[in-house]
Amino acid sequence: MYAVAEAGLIAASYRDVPPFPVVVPASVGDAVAAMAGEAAPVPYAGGTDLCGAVREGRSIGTLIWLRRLDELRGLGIEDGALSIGALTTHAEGAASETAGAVPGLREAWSKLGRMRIRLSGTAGGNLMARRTRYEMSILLTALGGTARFASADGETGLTPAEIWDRREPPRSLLTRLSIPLAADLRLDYDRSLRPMTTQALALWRDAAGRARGRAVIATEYLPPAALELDLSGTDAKGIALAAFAALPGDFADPASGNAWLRRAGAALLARQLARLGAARG
Amino acid sequence: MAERLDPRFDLSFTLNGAPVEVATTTATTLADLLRERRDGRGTKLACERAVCGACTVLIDGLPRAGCSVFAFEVAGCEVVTVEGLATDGALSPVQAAFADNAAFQCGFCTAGMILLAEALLARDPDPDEATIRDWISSNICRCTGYGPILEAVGDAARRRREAAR
Amino acid sequence: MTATTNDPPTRNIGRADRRADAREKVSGQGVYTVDIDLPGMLHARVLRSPHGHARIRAIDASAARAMPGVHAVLTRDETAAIPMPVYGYFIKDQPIVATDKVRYEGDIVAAVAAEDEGAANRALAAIRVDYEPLPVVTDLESASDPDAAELFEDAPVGIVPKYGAGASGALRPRRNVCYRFSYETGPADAFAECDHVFEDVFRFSRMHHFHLEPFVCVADWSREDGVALWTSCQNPFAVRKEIARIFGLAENRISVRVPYIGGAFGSKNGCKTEPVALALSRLAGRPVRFCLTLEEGFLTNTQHAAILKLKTGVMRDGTLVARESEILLDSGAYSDGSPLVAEKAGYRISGPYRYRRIKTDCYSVMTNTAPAGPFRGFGGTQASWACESQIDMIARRLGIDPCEMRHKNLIDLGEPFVPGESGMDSDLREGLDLVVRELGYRRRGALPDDGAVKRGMGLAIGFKDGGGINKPALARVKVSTNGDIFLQCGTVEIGQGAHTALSAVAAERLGADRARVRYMPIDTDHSPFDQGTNASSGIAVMGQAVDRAALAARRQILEFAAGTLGCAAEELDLAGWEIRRGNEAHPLAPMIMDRFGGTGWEFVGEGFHKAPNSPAAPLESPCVFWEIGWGGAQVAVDTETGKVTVETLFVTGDAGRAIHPLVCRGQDEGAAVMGLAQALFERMIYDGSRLVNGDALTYRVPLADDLPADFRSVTQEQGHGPGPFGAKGMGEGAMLPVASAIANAIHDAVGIRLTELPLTPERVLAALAAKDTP
Repeated sequence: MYAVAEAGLIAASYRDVPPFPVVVPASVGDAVAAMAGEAAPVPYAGGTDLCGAVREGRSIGTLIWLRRLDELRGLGIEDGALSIGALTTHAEGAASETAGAVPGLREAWSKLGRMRIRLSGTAGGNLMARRTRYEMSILLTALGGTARFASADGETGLTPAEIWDRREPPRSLLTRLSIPLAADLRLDYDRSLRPMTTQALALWRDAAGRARGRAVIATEYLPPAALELDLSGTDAKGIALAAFAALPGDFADPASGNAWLRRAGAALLARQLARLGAARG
Repeated sequence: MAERLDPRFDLSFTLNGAPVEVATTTATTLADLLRERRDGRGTKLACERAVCGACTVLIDGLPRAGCSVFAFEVAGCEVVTVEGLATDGALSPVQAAFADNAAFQCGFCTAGMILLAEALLARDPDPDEATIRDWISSNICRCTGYGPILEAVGDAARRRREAAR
Repeated sequence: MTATTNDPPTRNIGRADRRADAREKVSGQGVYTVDIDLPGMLHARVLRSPHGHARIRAIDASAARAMPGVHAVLTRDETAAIPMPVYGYFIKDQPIVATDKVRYEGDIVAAVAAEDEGAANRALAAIRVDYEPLPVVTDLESASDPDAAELFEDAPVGIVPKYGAGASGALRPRRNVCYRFSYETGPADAFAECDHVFEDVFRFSRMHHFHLEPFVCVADWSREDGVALWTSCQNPFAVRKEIARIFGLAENRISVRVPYIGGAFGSKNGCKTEPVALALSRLAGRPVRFCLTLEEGFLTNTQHAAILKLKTGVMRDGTLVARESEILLDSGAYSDGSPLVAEKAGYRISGPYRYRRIKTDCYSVMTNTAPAGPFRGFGGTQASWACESQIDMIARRLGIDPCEMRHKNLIDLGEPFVPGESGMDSDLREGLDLVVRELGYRRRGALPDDGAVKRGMGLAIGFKDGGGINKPALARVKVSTNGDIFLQCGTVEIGQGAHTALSAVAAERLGADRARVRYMPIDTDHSPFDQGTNASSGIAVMGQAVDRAALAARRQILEFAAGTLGCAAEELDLAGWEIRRGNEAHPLAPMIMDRFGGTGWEFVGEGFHKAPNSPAAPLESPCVFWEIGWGGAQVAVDTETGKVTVETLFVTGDAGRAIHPLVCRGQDEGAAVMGLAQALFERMIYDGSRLVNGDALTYRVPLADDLPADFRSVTQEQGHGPGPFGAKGMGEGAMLPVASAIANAIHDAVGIRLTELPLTPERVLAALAAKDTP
């Protein structure tokens, strides 16, 4: 449903969409050219999201159907980073041995979506849907990853936060996600408080060998908030409470209040720290 | 080179084993295309945004919500709907197990659930309970409370294995 | 659980064979209203209010009328010509499209019928509406304040039914209240003799039915001689009557047809899509299909949120004495079924316990939110939540085991619920003891803790009067020359298994296998009258009508055979379409053709049922049966996050006699999972007058992996039901105890009491913090 002018709300669907041309690029270059040259291009891959977007008012000028772009599928390690093709499905990602380069990532990824969605839904689609309920953004934020966009002007890397702010170059195409493989990088993803909130913890060592960590909390209705951890202590609860003290006071939604998100989030974080062996629970 | 598909085009695919050629448009969903056919109304539309799974069909064996698949996507593909499961009037083992376990009530989610189960059993002929639960969690049933559906999928797996023996 | 009765073996009763609708539904052949397609059919879409409350200064639909593919546009300008363009149950307050005001976000302002949905939506987008926004009313407790905005400045037409002893109703008793139901019995001074009086307040959340088949109808008013309507509707005869009144039509010119229904859970009672579709069809002269999206469903009908204030007087030994209550139901912007829900919530608030004094006031409060109406449990869910929570609280305050407290006060088998009512037709203690055993409730003190995670168990007994109010049902059974059985009645197949159970009853009486019965399609032109498929009435009310119809047909057949064979009908039996007389078997078909000619004949039996009217009964007639759902839960409470995990959920209902065990199980477990979701997470979230989560993605309904690791049900067959073979109704009972059983288990685990649904981790943690703060 979406609003039309000031007159009211209408229930839209694909049946409202006039037939559109479909471009099926054979290469990323083709796809970038199509994004640059076609009228109102909409990139389309797994198909699990556009339907919902159209119901909320999105229009389709030209559909850029990415299905033949096998080069955007799968994972690899390049230049010290885990590279995830935007068209990698959740099922493929969770089964990928390469993803094992980040301990905990496969397990976390295996929780995204339900089986029917996991078989078709893609990492890129999950991110670009910009739905607070979706979780790839949470994982990517925790892992300090970026999303790579290709456009006629070249490649750009954006943080998940920048994607929420719609800062991607105009007419660009998300090609892959990139996660720098910092030393000892590992991930814990806790969904036990879903649907209210979920929380990711990433730990690594920086160039100086110091333990570093980032917790990311998101709710059904709020995009992820990142909390940098001070890991100089060994008491998990202390670290967690200190981290959550930095959670903005307005981080709350119609389903969950700020005080609870802090308390429960800190409790979960302490457990996550203990699970990853970063501190005593 | 990029291919280009016009807004109106002729679509060819295989539906339940038989070739289909139909003039359609790029904006037409697979579910709508199927439901326009006399033998296609078993595919039910509910949420129409890929969440509930009532419209699940198999596309080259992959369970997908027909509401959110454009018809053009299935060009050259094998599409299986609930109408294509019975052989010479005999229910498939999954259908028979759903029938015998009363794994339906209103029946609106049933076609989607059955096709989801077909997809699971094609991949994993002997799924454990956790796997069945994981897969069945893809679709929504508002009536049964799920117990009979989970049992029916396990029952169907046994029937399929026995039939294959 | 096996039958407690010593019934002889039967052909059909109690058999767990395939449901009557199994083959059609697993093969995709079942026809639903969404599948109806008529030649020349147009598609309707509507424009809905973006404001919670606003006056409409002007509507300009001229551009929409001129758009390609548009065949009809419906605004208040067009409905002005309709004799009575408003609808509702007791109160006719909902306009077909908005006239002077809009009263909730989503209120229908205009409608278009076009060649396709896209064309209709494009036309809607061209309509201009000038709104004057008004203050909104969303809070139940302040809705009646003198400075609150008023949804209805003028009184809509409404009625109050003729209640019996102790009950009364009132229209518009105060600002923004469309209806009040009151009930009173026993001495007014009963509280004075109580050792303790406890007052507690409970809050109940609001769900949407989330039926998968949308609200949908196809209306054909393209001919002058009458209208045809296919609709996904629970009460076609009631809708026929509404349509006749709205449009000034004779009822014999309105054919209402109901194919299979893809779920409703109460929402599809009364007019929903039908008036708009009919009005458009008349304007366009073409059939019109009006199928809402699931999102629009959230804006069409919902459950009632509620505030329930209980005051309960009790002796120190735990004997209940007096119960006063005030209940506020959030009825949304239009009354829909709210007065009836108020009646039921108010009537059921004393639960399955004996009191000397009961006084209840239940208010239907109007707010600028989506209209609320019937929802599985029908006020009983709200009442059971409060009632079964408070019983537990009182027991703990008195230092009595909550189970013993219930035992002590439960109504006995056969004892009237209140004066003038029918007797209790389940042994309530028997069911409670079953839960105690299945759950291992007596051993709950030994449940292990697990660090921050604490465990506990809770019980509850859900309770409601079943079978509707003053509900007539008529059934017809025809048997052809070959012994093929036609069952005609108005109970719609909504998934509950009515075709299966009612066909089994008819077949059993005629000595036939159920496969010989066809449950005939429902068309108000031919189907016998029925009030509606609701109130768990299928087997207990219509079942009695079907039973009598089948017995009437059987009697005709036996008397016909007796005449032919020259003996008394009492000597004869009917089995397998043969007349049995001692060791002789006489096939019926040749006997019939001998008498009636080669084309044969049909025997036709009719059967009627209605509870007798009685001024002594508070609600017009005594309750047909009592629907009980016993439940028990084991929970694990994470005291650091507040998360509640339901580890075990056990529910049990009393089918009286399970006509079809799989159907009975399905009803109980489906209801229990709905209750589980309401207890833990499922809710409509409003931010003021705006629904925050009104779509399939953000509104969470339970999935298979939300089931507790240990989830079980047992269908009791206590054998005391009024229905055929001792059956009672099913379908709502097992939803009722779930939320309070879980809240009681949380109390057992960590000593906190949650009085508001859902039982979110946030509320658990807040209550734990409050408990630890002296």
